[in-house]
Amino acid sequence: MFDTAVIIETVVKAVIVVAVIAALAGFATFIERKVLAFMQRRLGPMHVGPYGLLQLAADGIKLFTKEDIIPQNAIKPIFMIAPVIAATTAFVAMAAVPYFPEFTLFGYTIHPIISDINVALLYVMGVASVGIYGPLLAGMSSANKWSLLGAARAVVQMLSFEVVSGLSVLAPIMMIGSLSLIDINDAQTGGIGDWLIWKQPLAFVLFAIAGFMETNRAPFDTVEFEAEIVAGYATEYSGMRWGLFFIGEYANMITISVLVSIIFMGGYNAFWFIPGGLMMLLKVSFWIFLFLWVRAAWPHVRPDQLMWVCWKVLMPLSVVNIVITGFALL
Amino acid sequence: MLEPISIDIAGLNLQALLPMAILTIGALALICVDLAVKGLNRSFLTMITILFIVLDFGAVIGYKGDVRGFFDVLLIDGISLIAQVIILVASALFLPLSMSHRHFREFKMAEFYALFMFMIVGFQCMVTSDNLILIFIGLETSSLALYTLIALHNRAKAFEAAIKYFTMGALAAGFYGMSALIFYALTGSVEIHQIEQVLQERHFEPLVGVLAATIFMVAALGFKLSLVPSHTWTPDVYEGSSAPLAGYMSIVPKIAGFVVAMRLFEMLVASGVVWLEYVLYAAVVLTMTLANITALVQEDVKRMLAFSSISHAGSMMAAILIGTTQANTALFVYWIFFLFTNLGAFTMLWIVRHRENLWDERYQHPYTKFSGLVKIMPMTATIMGIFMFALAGMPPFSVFWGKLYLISAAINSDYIWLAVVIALNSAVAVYYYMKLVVYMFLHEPVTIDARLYATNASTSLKVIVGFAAIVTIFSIAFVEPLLQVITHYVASSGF
Amino acid sequence: MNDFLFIFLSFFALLGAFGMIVLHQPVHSALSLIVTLLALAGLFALLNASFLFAVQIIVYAGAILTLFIFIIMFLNVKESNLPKEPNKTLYLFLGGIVLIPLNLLVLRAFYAMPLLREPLAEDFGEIKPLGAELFTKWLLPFELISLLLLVALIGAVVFARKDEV
Repeated sequence: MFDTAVIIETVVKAVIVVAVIAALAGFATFIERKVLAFMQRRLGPMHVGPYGLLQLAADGIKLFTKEDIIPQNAIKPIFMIAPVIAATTAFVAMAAVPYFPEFTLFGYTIHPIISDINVALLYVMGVASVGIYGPLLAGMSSANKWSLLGAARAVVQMLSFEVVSGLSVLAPIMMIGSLSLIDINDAQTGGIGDWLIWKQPLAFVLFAIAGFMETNRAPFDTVEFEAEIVAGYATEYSGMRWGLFFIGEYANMITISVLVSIIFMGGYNAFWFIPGGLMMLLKVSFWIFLFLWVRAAWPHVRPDQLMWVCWKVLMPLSVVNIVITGFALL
Repeated sequence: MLEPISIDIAGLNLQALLPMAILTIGALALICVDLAVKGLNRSFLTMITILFIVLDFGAVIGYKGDVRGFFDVLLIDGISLIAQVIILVASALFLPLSMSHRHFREFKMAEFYALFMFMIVGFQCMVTSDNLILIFIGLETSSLALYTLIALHNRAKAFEAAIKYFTMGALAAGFYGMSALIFYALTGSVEIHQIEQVLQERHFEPLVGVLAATIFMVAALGFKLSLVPSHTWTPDVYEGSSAPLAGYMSIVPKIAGFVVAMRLFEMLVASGVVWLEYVLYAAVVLTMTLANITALVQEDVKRMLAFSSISHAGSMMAAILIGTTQANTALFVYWIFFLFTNLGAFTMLWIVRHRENLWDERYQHPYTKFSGLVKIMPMTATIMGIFMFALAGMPPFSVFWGKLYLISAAINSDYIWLAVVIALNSAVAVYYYMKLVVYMFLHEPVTIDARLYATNASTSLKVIVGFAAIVTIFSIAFVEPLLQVITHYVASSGF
Repeated sequence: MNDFLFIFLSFFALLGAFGMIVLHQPVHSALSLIVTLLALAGLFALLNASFLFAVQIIVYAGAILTLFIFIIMFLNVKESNLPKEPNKTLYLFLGGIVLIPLNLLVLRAFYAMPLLREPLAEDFGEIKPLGAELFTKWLLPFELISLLLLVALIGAVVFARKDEV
């Protein structure tokens, strides 16, 4: 059933995706520092390499060589595996995400998606929801109160916002009639007017808000907010294990950006003279920038306010949106 | 875009859903009203619930031949009708027991009544379907509500009972799922009539598959019907829950289970495969005999009644094993009479309930509690005695007629040994029922304080007891018409 | 390849189930249950039931087990509160032996199933036929499940607010 070429192709794609996204995740930390610095009228990292570019490498070396500390009372196997879960799920979720339109290389047509399954959207959200075990297990096994508080917040918030993101994305799915991200992309081929953002503005806003929450970004970064709970679930972590959490978080950011671009903003369809691949890069970059911009511009909210907004505002709104969409479709 | 699917509304036969819809709406309305108005009165809640049950009853009895509805998931036939009537009558009679003299926390909550209605909806779904999935969901809805109702009694023992029942119920649900799975894999259907059709075409091959499915199903329904060896939860759960609920549990979940068993097992027994019959035969004989023997050594009346209800359930399974129209009619008649007798007996226990265990450290209703009751409260003792006589199957009281009809059904279809076992068990059962009568009438009283025995009595409880006693005593007057009506319905749906 | 994947996933499903029973700490049991559920999701995917696969991951692994662990975390079970389980291994072993005939019966029943040899529909396991089936023929059981969940919800709320009354 599986022929060897397909296996090799899949493995190569997987390796490329993991390598590129991991590198981009590292690069995103540099971008974040730079963008935040500019918004605060500073320069940010400048000393290592031209314009501070090699700061990234320096950080990497530091992380890799730092001592891997495991607290005495921590439950060792779980403490060690938690960051791996966080990073792995972030990457596994990308298996069903298409990045670019298909292209031909050396006479061989390549689909830039690891596996086109017909429930891609559900799959991505499902694997992302399994990612919750990273913070949860990290916090529980650390034998640290801040970690435990962080884990508790993480679980409560992620589970709640999964409801919002799932319900809000239901309305576009109802309009398109497919869960495959490629189908969703293909439904928006007709230029900027065809983007689903115009037909589903409310779903778009809700999904974006839920995306900010699920990636623990400001203003919803209550899971690891320094002023309240040190570093949340990651308090006891250092070195590469801490690094894995961060790679996971930035990988999740990229996934969310890709998802929003595909579902609501026309995906990788060519626009005017810009080819589809470049379009996708532009959109993802814009979203990453937006993540940083919001972090620089907004104060963060309290956990109780977050839950209040989630269950009493966002969730009802998304249900109303589904009902309206249903009537409109009838 | 997806293409819309068009459905013929008239073909859905939405009236078939009406009885369940009434109670569901009633329960939801009750919750919403409770949200707006705090502290609703106990009798108001009881009455409004009974009102909905009566409405439901009205929707149920508009029966005109076998009807399928809602994509053929629902099946309304004669036995589902009788079962629903029994369920609704039992619910309407047990519910007023909430208006006891003492105030209990659970009866002040609107949620109790809402859950009660949801539970009835679950039972109704169980009996009005021959679809294994709908039956399962109905079973789980009713069980889940029942667990909660038991635990609401807010005593340590009630929690214990609820948890025990819940754990056992979860295990039974697993068995049920396994059985339905094997049936589906064997026949490609989860509807009992189609399963029957396919199995008969194939002469019940592969037999090992049918056997595995049957064993799992006997185990699953056995929990609900408290058949040996899955009966162990029954006495503890009855002891822990309040008397009205214990009485309710001995009647309503079982009749729902019997209808499912009737639909499923009769086609298996009719297959002519000896194995399947042996499995049921063993379950029936063991249930009756072991439960009776265990009941002999009980020191608590409530536990004794629990074991006796297991034994009665065993005789009911005998009716399903026999499987003729007469036997099935006997099942329903027996159960209707058992309903009134048990209603009376458990209401009596509810009336004499006292907050503290005055008579025994371990038990709430030990036999000694009732010693010499005739000298303290002659009326109470006499009525209790009548119920005991009736449960023991003494003529002319109610359960006797059921038993008589059941034994004659067994003899008519050449189950002579089964008839002998049923008769012998009735003889054994006389001993433990009479033990209570002996305590009440022949022993010297331990205390002469009559108030201790009537702490929970109220007018509505007395009315219920009186009603149950009248039905029990004068059952001879309506055995004949009851038999005719039930035979008509049972025969009309082909059982 | 298919056989290899099947054996691989089955191994983890069984390993998780085994660990779930054998392990002493509730948290560890819950964690090994996750392994089982994820492996089961993989088995669903292998059977081409893609919707079940995704739902299994989202609902069971993603939500239910998270809540299990979350609640175990808040119960803060101490080592001394756990029941002592002497001879647990022995009982498990004996129980396993007792169950062997039953398992053999079920196994033989499964092998004897005629449905196993019938070809599957073209769109088997896809979300569209599943949804159409669920919302026509199975609408009533589907809605009844929501009633079931409502009952559970009401029950939970009633117990949770117990002390206020």
